[in-house]
This record gives sequence, C-alpha cells and structure tokens, in this order.
Amino acid sequence: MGELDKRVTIVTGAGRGIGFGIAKHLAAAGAIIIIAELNAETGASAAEQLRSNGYEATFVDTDVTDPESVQRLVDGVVERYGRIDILVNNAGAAEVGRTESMPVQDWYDQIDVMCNGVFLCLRAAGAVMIRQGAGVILNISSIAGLGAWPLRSAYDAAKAAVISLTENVGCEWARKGVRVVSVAPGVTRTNMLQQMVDDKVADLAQYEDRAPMGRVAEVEEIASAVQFLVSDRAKYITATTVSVDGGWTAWGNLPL
Amino acid sequence: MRFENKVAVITGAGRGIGYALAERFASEGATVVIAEINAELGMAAAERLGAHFVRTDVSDHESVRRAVEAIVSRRGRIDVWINNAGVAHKAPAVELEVAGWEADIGVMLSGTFYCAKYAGQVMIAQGSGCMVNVSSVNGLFAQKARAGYCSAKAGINMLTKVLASEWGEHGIRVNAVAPGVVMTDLVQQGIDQGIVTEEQYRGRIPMGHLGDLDDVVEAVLFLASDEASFVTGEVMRVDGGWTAYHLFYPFDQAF
Repeated sequence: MGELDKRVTIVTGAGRGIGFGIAKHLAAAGAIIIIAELNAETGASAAEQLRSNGYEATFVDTDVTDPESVQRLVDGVVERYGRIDILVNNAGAAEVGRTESMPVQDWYDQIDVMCNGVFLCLRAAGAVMIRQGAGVILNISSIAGLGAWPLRSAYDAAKAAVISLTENVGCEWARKGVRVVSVAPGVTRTNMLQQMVDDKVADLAQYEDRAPMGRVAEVEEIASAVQFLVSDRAKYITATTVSVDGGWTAWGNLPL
Repeated sequence: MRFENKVAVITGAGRGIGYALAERFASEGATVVIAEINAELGMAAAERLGAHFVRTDVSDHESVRRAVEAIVSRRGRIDVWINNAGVAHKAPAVELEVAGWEADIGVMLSGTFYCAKYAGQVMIAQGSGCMVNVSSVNGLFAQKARAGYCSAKAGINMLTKVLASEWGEHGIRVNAVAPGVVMTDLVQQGIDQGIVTEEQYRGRIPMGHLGDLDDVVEAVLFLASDEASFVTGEVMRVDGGWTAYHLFYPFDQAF
C-alpha cells in the first residue's frame, strides 16, 4: 500500500474540482477518504467513483459553516474509524464584485465558508487529533491570499485568514503532535475554471501568461503537493504555506 | 525510483546535508555528481556512494564553469542541480572580518549565481531541468552575529525567485528550502564551542526539537521531483514552526 495506508482522511468540498482531485490522489496513496460535502449529489457520486476504483470512501453530508454539522461529521468519523489522521480544509466559494456595491451577504457567505468553515473543522478535528497526539491539518488557501485580486475582497481576505490561522494554530499545536499546513494553489484547471472560460468571465491566456511557467495548474499537481505535506516526509513542516503556482507569486510581473 | 537516469549535481556534498542529499539521490536512481571544494571529503563521499567527484570552488566562477563543462562532457546532461555549499562566519557586524563577509557572500550567494549561470545554460539548451537551493530560516529573519550568512541566504531566496521567473518558460523549476536548525556538523560545532546550547534552540522552536537531516532531504527531493511539477519560485520552510512563531522566548512558557 501507499504511504498514507489506512489513514483516516476528511476532505471538505470534495465533490468536485481540486477537492475531489485531492481525495482521489490521497486515496491512491492508501488513505481512507471521507468526502465532506454540502452538495449531496456531487458528494455521493464522488464517493461512489472512488469506491468503484477500489478505494475506501464515504460521503458525509456536511455544511462547514454550521458548527453542529461539523461536529456531527467529526463524531461520525471517530465513531466509525476510531480516529482522524488527516483533515483537508478545501471547501470554498467565490463571488466577483465591486467592494463598494457588493451585497453584504456575499461578504458574509464567503467568510463563512472559507474562514469560519476552516476554523470550525480545524477546531473539531483538532480536538480529536490532540487527544491522539497526532494528526495533520492541511488548509487550502490561494495565491489570492498572498496578494490582491481586485473585485474579490472577501475571497482574498478569507484566504489570507487561512494563512494566518495555519501559522497560529500550527504553533499552538506544534508540541501536541498536530501539524497545520497550507497550500496556496495558483489558477487550476477545473470544471469551474472551464465554465468561467466558456462563459467568457475569464480569459485562459491571461492566466497562463501571468505565471512564469506559462500555464495553469492541473488538479493533480495541487494534489501531489498536498500528499507530500500530509505525509510523514513533511514531519518537520508546520505552520507554513506552500505556493503551488508556477511562479505566480514569485514574479513581479513586469512584461519584460 | 524518482530519479532514475537523472544526473543530479550537489555542491558541498562532502558532508552534512549535502552528503545526505547525495546519498538519497543515489538511492533513488540518480547518477550523482559531488561538487565539493575539499578533495579529500569529496572523493571519499563519491567512493562510498558510487558517485562522481568534481573538485569545485563555487565561489570561483571559472572553477564552476569548468565543473559544469566536465560534468556535461562526461554525463551528457544535468537534470538536477542542488546548491548546498555553505560557510558561516560568526561575529557581530562591527567585528566581522571583511574576509568573513566576503566568504559568506562569495560561497553562498555568488556561488549559487555562478552555478545557476552555467548549469542554467545547460538546462535551457536541454529544455528541462530543476534547481533546488538550500537556504535557511536565517534568510527570512535575522540572527545576531551572522550578517554575512543571513544576507547571503536572503539573497539566495530572491535569486531563487528571479531564476524561477526567467526559466519558467523553459520548463525549468527553481525552488529553495529554508531549514530551521538541523543537527549537522556545523550546528554541533556551534554547540561544542559554547556559542549556543541545544536547549536554547529547542526553546525557540514550536515543535520543541531540532529537525532531522532527513526532513531537509525529503523536502529537497520533493521539490526536485515531478511531484512538485507546478512548484517554482518557492522558499519552502522546514523549520518546525520556527518562522511562524513571533511571541516570547521560550516557546513553552509563552502561552
């Protein structure tokens, strides 16, 4: 079996996109996967797809913004498997709009999923991991948490909060055997991105040109970095964020 | 075997982290070249690992140019280049010998640039390659009495980003690792000389212990492998939380 053999792993928002890619990649490394997803349809079909590949996977209907829902998820996993080894906080939602005129609810909704949701899952699963004296929490941030993408103030602020939370709680739990790390993906080829390109909301060439590597990430490339960080190979890495962005945040972006 | 049929060059691989890296690259299938200034150490290491030794003074650009030429003429290519060679002169800035400053900058910052310049030419011609620079948390924040070392490591971090920006279009990735304190000969030396105690280090590190050589090795191998195929221009911290923690000393009494 792989390096994550039988590790009990929760991935939030794993019904599709990067979350599903991570779930699949970690499953291939031997992890037992719990797909914690708000959308029952994509969540159930993601778990089914993993099972049909011979992996152990279950879907748990979860709203990461609801403390009770999160606690039910964590209690249910502990009841079934006795432990939680890995939590991947991936669930996200993005709205684009001018800050001065965006509906206030858009701000609350995004902060709720990507900041409060990460906190709630980390808190509940972290308590279990502290009792175990072991565990890894990996938060999906974004390169938009490292710099400004105008018209995305809530998304960026939430992703920056994830980076801070990773550092803070990573330190707090460092002597309790629990690592907290984060990955900041660059623009990644998902169905959502394709939809935006098809709808002409996004221009793929612009994204490609912005990264020194001249392309966007494949989901698999985010997932392989996640696997390294949650594995024992990264046992001395905690309270930090790793960009997986083709050089996007390194480069000052003068067109020379 | 992540590095089967790959030529991996490691500078300063006669001992310490460099040697540990050479060992692991060899065990994962790479043809390893040890580029080391100390011929005795370099040859002994090469012998033990079935690797190749090229005497290299990274602070001398002519020596680097010749080393790269020799490697390409014998091995045909360079797939992975690890800039690891380092020195450290410890003295308060006002007392630091100019020669000490020049050596720190010369070996670590200029040395990394010379290696990048010549190995980069080879990689660009190949249309592939990967470079990993061994930096340090001391390139991210200051230590007293290490002006040269810290400045060189900070320079390496920026050089990493510049090279990543320039070479992305050629399919060449450039990254750095920033280890915290890892028990190497150099760190042991500092402890033996009474400059610092292991307890002092532990008190500063959130995880409460020093890193293993293996922790750095795993991070470098990850960055050099296809697992990190979209990671470039990154300075990856392997520091037990050191750089994230900004509250009081010692850690365990702070909260």
